Amino acid sequence: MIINYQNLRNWVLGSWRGFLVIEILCMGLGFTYFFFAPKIYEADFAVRLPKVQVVSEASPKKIEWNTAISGLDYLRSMQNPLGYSQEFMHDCMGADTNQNRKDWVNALQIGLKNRGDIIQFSIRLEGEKRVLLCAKQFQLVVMQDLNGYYEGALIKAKIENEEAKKNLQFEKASVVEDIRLSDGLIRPNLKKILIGSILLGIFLTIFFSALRKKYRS
Amino acid sequence: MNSSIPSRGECVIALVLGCIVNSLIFFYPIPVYYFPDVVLLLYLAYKFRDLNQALSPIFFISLALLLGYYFFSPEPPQTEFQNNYLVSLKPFLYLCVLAIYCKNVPQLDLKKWLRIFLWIYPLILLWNLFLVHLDENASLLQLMTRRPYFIFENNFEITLYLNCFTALFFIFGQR
Repeated sequence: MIINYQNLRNWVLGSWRGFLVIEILCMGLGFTYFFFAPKIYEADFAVRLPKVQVVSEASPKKIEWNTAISGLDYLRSMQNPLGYSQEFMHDCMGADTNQNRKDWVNALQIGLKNRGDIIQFSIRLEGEKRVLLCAKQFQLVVMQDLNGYYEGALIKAKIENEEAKKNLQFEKASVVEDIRLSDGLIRPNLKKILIGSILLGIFLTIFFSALRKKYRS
Repeated sequence: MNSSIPSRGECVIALVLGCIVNSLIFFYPIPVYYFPDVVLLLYLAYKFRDLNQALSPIFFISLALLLGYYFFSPEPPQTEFQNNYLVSLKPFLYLCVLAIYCKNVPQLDLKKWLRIFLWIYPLILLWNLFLVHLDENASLLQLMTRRPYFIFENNFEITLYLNCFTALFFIFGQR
């Protein structure tokens, strides 16, 4: 495909009416999507992982703080659709189906904060009340999970009890940022939709003029 | 006389121009980070008339990457700032431009300009320090801790300076 000024000029002069029509249609499509998109709300909260003190292997006199489970490992386990109980799925998503489980995992956005010892959860679902209920239930699940890891670390420390390990300290999981609802509806990004529809119009015009050229000749 | 070696007069003119630009940027806060893109845009608009070449697949690949990253990168939670800077996507944009304009590169004798830049840049930095001394009445000790600049922040300019040196020394072989 040769691109030059004359070709471009001829093409623009020849197809500007079609371009305008397609562009208006695409913008209309974009605005329709913007106004009729599902009413998504967002809830955010952050949790600090349980921490344990361990005796450093390199220098036995030194004591270090570690997390009872690494943030990344926990994050990965949260993305398993089968990792949630039936009751949780009933309360939050209405019914315990495989599709609902996958939808739930897709509604979650998880990130590590601080030095990887704080996990932030962001949940996006339809309906303000539903997302609040889900966030509360989910926070309970997360805290139970993390405190389970905390108990495990305690037991492990008792089994390996030596003189040096007697004064080790432990820290339970805690909620750092409590559940916070979005100010209102989370609308789709208008700027991206507009740019997207303009670009779509340009691409469709190119496509249709190529089709016309191919079949009219 | 070798035309790639600048005369003394040209060097002095370039130095004076550089000092004027530096003083303008020093005293009036102009958004300088748009300069390179504005220059590029002006060049693209100027050379648009001469466009005449086959469109390489590189253009479509980089366009797909650019649009893909722009439209499909995840939105942050509402409690975090939206990242509106497209700096990380700029390379794809530049690749697209290169794929369209690679037959229309600027016909400029780089050797001469590289030489001039290598000579005048340290002097412009000294000029910048002098301006700081004028403006803040800074002592020599305070000036030692400054990081003088020409147009941008120091970090970017040192890279450019080193690249100019490398190009002149190794690619053009002017030792």
